[in-house]
Amino acid sequence: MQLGAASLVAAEARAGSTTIQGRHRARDLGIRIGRMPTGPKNGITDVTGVEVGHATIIRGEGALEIGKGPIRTGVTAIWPHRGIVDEFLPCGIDAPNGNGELSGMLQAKRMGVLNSPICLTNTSSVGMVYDALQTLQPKDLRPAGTPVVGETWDAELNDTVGRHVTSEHVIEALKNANSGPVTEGAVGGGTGMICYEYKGGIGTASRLVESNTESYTVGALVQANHGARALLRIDGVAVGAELAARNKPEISPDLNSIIMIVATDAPLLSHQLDRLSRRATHGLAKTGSISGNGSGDFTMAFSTGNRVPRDAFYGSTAYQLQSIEQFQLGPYLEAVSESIEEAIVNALCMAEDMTGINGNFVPALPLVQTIDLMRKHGRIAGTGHE
Amino acid sequence: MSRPTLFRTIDLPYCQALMLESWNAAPGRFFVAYRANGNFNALLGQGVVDEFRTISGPIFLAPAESIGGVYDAGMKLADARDEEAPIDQGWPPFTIGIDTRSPDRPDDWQDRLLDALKTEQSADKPPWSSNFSSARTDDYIVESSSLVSDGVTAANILVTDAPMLPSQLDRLAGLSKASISVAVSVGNRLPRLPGGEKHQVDVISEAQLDAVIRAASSPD
Repeated sequence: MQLGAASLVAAEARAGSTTIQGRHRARDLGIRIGRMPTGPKNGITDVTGVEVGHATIIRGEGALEIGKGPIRTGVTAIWPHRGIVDEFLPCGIDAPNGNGELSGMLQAKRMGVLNSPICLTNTSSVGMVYDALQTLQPKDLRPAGTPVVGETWDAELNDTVGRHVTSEHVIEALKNANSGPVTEGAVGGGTGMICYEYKGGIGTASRLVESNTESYTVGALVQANHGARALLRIDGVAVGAELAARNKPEISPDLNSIIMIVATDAPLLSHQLDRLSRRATHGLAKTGSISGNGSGDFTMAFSTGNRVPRDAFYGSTAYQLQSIEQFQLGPYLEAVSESIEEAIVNALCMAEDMTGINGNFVPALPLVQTIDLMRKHGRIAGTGHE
Repeated sequence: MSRPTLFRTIDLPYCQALMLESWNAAPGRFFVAYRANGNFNALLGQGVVDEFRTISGPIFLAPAESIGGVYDAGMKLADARDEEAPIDQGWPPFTIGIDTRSPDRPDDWQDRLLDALKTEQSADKPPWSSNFSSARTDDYIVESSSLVSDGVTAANILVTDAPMLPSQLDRLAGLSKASISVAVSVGNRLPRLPGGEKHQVDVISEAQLDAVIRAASSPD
């Protein structure tokens, strides 16, 4: 495997440097998950038409005063494409453990389409965000689309009960959305999230599925708020178990949740996207999650390769979609697993230390120690990946 | 009494098969959905239908205590098409158990079943009654075979030429209170495609689906 654009960070790490400035994505640290090529941005926005934006709210410090703060939360908005309320996309879902909320699942299951932007936020803000998204729907005699809002619980760091997310934040995130590289870590809906007892949040990654004649992209975005540190694995290395022994966590969150969004430009049908959704769990599991009893783990996958105009969906004649042959779906399933796994690791690598309500401190994943462990186990590029 | 046009029923004393096409048709699949109610649990071939949402080959109905043997016969039929058992040539046999006693079977019952499927010739009736009904929308036909055993609707098989996706068929299958309800669309036949080619799949609109559901709920 090619090392690619080996970053200064990775070069320093190989040279035994003990300092890494700032936060860096997994690949920039030399961690190379899987075997498939990434898209140019290695993110969900590699899927043409997909745009991502955040509204991040960080205010106050000290003791929790419900309604006042401290606030560590926000909204992450995903436009599957800008015209989604008028031009639906096939979608599929999965819920490896359903102790949470991802609205729109019933529509996805029964009608097989997505007709709303997707927003990710904290648990208490689902209704507010849903309400804001409803205002985007066309006002006519046909059924309105169903907003898709996913949540994870940020009450370790955020005044979640205070409900600081407003419709203005939803609009801000939607307006901020663009097709450039996705800002990762403690941003948007991921601001107050904790992953494997390190600071978590938003992560993204992508893979290219290439055949002799065509190339399609599979992209993933996660809001990662799950897992026990001792279970964390990065590219197969039991990083969490080794780090836990030398870096005892300050807090012990329950086995929380993750929302996983998968996008592809491959022309797929809803039941095929159900299959892709199920493979997200494989990527999640490779980072060490067992989808604990208390977790709300959900996946939604959509395809921009088939578009269903609202007029056709509710019209009086049949319409036509394309579908990749089932026998050729294997690489897409692998791409989902790899993208989700790397997106989670990116969330960990990019998130910084955070102190929230009541002085609760959540450390960032220690990159130097992590790289040392990866190198020790031969998983850093230059020591076993070529 | 009207007869089905979208499928053929092959009757034997110990089995009934609904054939959507000839036993050795070229590789291909149809979208399918099912819904089980109550404590129904006698079903084989479920995994592939759940994963791929398609069916190829006959739908087998048999007394619950004999679905293993009928499934095995279905496997032999699939083997005769392709020993690799691809999902577009009759594997796995979708086999539904009916809550009734199995009649005595002759020693060569599997051979008789395979012959009947290949020649599409029925023999005696199975130990349940089948009620056929048909309904039309402006565009499509919905046909159903309802199996009544001991006064209970044990299975309801809906076949339509409306081109429907699995999620739409889920809604159709959900209409029936039978122990198990199956809905198949023959409106899209998915052939095996060479690499790179894509299926062109027709899909009915919500308004057309409403009409199909109304028709299925009020057969002629």
